[in-house]
Amino acid sequence: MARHRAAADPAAAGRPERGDARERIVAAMVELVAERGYKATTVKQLLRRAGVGRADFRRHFAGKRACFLAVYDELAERFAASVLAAFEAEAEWREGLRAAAYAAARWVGEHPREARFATLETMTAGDFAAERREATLRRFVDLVDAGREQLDDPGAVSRAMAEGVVGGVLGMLTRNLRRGAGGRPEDFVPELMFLAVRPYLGIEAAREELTTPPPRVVGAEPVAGRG
Amino acid sequence: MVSLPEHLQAKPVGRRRLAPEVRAEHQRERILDAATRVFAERGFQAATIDDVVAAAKVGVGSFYDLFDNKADCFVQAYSRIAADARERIAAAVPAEAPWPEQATAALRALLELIEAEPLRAKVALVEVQTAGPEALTRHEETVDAVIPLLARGRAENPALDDLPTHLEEAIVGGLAWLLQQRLAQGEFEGVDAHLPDVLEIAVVPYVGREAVPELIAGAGRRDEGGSSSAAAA
Repeated sequence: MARHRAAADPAAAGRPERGDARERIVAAMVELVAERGYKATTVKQLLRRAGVGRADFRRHFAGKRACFLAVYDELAERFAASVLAAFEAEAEWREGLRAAAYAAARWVGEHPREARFATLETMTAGDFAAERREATLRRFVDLVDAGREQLDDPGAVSRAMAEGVVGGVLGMLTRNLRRGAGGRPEDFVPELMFLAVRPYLGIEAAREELTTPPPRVVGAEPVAGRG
Repeated sequence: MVSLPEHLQAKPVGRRRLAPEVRAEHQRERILDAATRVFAERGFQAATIDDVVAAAKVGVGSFYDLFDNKADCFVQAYSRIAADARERIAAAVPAEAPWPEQATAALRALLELIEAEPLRAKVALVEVQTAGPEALTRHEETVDAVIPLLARGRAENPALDDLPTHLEEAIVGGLAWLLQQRLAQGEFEGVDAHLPDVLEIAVVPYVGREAVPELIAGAGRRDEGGSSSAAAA
């Protein structure tokens, strides 16, 4: 098995320098899909970018679609785990949600290709990916929807509100990715918090969010200031 | 005497007399109707041009005379649905009413359209997501056109001069997603079932939750007047 990849690929940053064939295929899939989209990506290109043979690919994945879904699942799991951990580290819903929002924004800022893969490309890849994407989003809807416990009458707001909040956030994210708009994802968090808090804690609490600074994160990796 | 507009006046009709561009337009409409059904029922990805021409009962050649490919056909079908919807929603909005009533009327009209034409709704809200970059761009344009209309709600409460700059973008994104989810999962349950949620997302940020029951009731009984708040505008 070729241990060395083809020489200097400018897209190599972020790819595991070493590691097994599977890891390299996963990394190559993320890169290629982020660069040219799912449909335009071929298995042949994947093999070249990953520096592996077809047999290696076949050993791990049944085909391009299976590979795409496996990569999506891994990314979604890592993303959700870091966001949910941030939420659970706080005692209160509002603080938890804010911590989760910043964790999500940092992840997107640090993993722009993965973010593009998991949102925009997963959306346009086809129906087969939509179900997975929705399962991931339901976990975030649950977080927002937990805000209903803050209401005197939890029945006053329906779950649809939380879906609207998450859908709105997703829409803003994909739109910005599509347009290559600048700005750090963290900068959007106060507005997102406004949207998420308003239905449950009222407009005054929502306005406070617009001027609430980010929580201090112990041991957080610095955000790569590129792009 | 009222005279008909020129294009409606009696004229020798018959296939051979139709101008080529009129025939092309008929053909285009016929294919777009069929394409809308096919895309909604099979999904954009699974649908083929063969499916579309079979449903439209035209030849493949006629299809390629009018469309570059499947994605182009989708974009044209989408654009027609979006333009019709815009027109019909605009017609449902009372011109002189205050913003909350106008917004409620528009949202109710949107839900009514979805209920009345589920296949078109599925194409415009669900299938558009997977129909390629041009379709997504058109969809963003449709959605963007709603933003300034929604932003008029800011004037309802001058105390809220610090509302987030992207509020409307998030609201329309959230609405589109909610409706897309309901349609994709076959859970669209009618106008009355969804109107309260839709108002909560799009109107409550500007006018508060207390206003909702009256807005929902008001949109149904327009004839009782309601000039009290109109005077303020």
